[in-house]
Amino acid sequence: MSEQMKPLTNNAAQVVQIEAKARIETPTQIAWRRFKRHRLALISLIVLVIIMVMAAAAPLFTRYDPNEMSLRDRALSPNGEHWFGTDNLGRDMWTRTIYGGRISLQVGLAAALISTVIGVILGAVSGYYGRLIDMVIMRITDVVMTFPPIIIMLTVAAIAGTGLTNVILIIGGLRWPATTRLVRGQYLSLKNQEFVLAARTMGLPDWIIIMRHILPNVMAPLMANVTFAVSAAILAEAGLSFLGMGIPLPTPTWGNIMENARSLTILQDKPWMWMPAAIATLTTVLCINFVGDGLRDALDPQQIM
Amino acid sequence: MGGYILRRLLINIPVLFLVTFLVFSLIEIAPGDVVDYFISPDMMQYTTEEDIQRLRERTGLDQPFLVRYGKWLGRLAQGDLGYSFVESQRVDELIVAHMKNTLPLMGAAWLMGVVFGISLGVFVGLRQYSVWDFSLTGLSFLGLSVPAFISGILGLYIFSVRLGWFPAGGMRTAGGDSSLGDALYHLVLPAATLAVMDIARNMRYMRFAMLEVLNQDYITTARAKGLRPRLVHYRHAMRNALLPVITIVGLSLPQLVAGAVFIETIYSWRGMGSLYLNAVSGRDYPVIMGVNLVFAVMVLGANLLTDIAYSAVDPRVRFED
Repeated sequence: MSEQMKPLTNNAAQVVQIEAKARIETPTQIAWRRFKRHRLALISLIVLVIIMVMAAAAPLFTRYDPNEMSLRDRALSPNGEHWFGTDNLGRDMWTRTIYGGRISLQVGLAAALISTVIGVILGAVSGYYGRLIDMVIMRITDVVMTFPPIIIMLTVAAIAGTGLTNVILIIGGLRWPATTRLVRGQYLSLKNQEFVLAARTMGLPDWIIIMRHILPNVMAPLMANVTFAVSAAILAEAGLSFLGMGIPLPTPTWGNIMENARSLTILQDKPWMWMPAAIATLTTVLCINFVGDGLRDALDPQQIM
Repeated sequence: MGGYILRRLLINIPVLFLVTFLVFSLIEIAPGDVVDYFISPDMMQYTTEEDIQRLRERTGLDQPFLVRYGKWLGRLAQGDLGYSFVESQRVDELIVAHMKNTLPLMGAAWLMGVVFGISLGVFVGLRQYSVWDFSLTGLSFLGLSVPAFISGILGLYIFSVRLGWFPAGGMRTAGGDSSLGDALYHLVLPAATLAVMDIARNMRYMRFAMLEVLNQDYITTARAKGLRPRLVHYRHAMRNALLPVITIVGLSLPQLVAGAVFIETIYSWRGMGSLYLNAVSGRDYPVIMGVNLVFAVMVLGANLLTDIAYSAVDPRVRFED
């Protein structure tokens, strides 16, 4: 307290400098400071980083190969050798769970990236230009949103086929309407503000106004949307794989590991074959959603610093 | 009011057209030649190129895309969805038969979402920052993150396998009586696990709406004139807080349909979800098209009803455009 009261130096110029340094925070610093106050979001972020590291460096955390079968070690319950037991083909479940995280997170991030890029482009064009192009894009958005998400994904998977690339493209290619609507709404209200008028008066081309002037103002709500898109994509992949229309075996993903639980004997007597994947999915999605919530609050300009 | 409904109805017509066009074109780009489905596998080796060409002409498959789309649309308008490739049954009959099982499941889940979600939302909304508020709001966050296939599996594992309170799937006891009680007994667990997300979401929105309404001046006025708290809470606050929640409740259908696909798989429920999943894995295109169309029409209908219901209870929306 008293330290703050008396300045460290009496040199006036230096005091001004120190004060200026203390006061100027970049928007990222402000957001980080406010994010840290959200204890649950911070804990979630740490858990998430741990999960991501385990998935990315999966070979370092296990002695086994995820696809190596050992017929002698079939359907073992968890023990010292196999922490999460083994499945009906003698594959180590701990290994399959952490390797499964690789695919699940990869799909989540890649699909969210695709849907965000499509959503931002369509939403920006729609909101900025309005009129006919807005009407056309919005009607297409309405049409895509008319189909329940998993239904249209399954339809496209049945036509285009399954596999990692297809699953990423299907999820990313069908999740953009929500982002488009969000971005369009932001552009609609921002395009009439003075700074856009100023940019236009200076004769800047439309794409610079769209990308450099308006887009940074949309980043706050967009960031939270991106995190929710990642968790939605992880769940979509898990859902598709659970139904056998996602990423085919033997590649492990949390979804196709949970497919084991569709057999009543496994569900009943061998919970180690599906529960770790279910808990991993749930934890990851919950953490991402908490982080998204924290981000939304931290980036909300309405809130008092 | 009539004008408003008419306007909402007209907006939906082009969307419905685009939906049919999208469904038809999706199947059009599917790999594989549809004409092959008309030739039985054991006859395939005796079939010549000319035979296939003749068959193509007879079934109208040689005509251009738009002509076939127009004819298909014409039959669709008469309720003709064609025949299943696999079941040798009319698609509309298949859909009606499976819809009879799905509607009770989705209806029960929807009702649980409305009743439990809204009452819990009011309950915690009136007790902000209490222990109840923290625990239930925290639980609702968990509920919102649980997908139907995990809530379905965990529900089945805990309440059926471990505790033995409910049957492990199926719609009625095999060989048993087909009483209403038995059907309800089989319905509770699938419907409840399907409702988890709805309950959580409705609760959160209701809580938020209550908190907002309780800050309004007319609530202060009601309190100041000495009205009993119960009247203030339920007559003044809850009724107004329900308005925005109507939209949330009405727009939950797509989520419910998606959840039903998983729940029906997990609980061996012979509804639309399992019909659809079988069609998808068997590449049964007429059924895939039919189910997509039925769901799309249901969603459009639900959106329309929500708009109308909202405008009926809140006349303000009819005057803005």
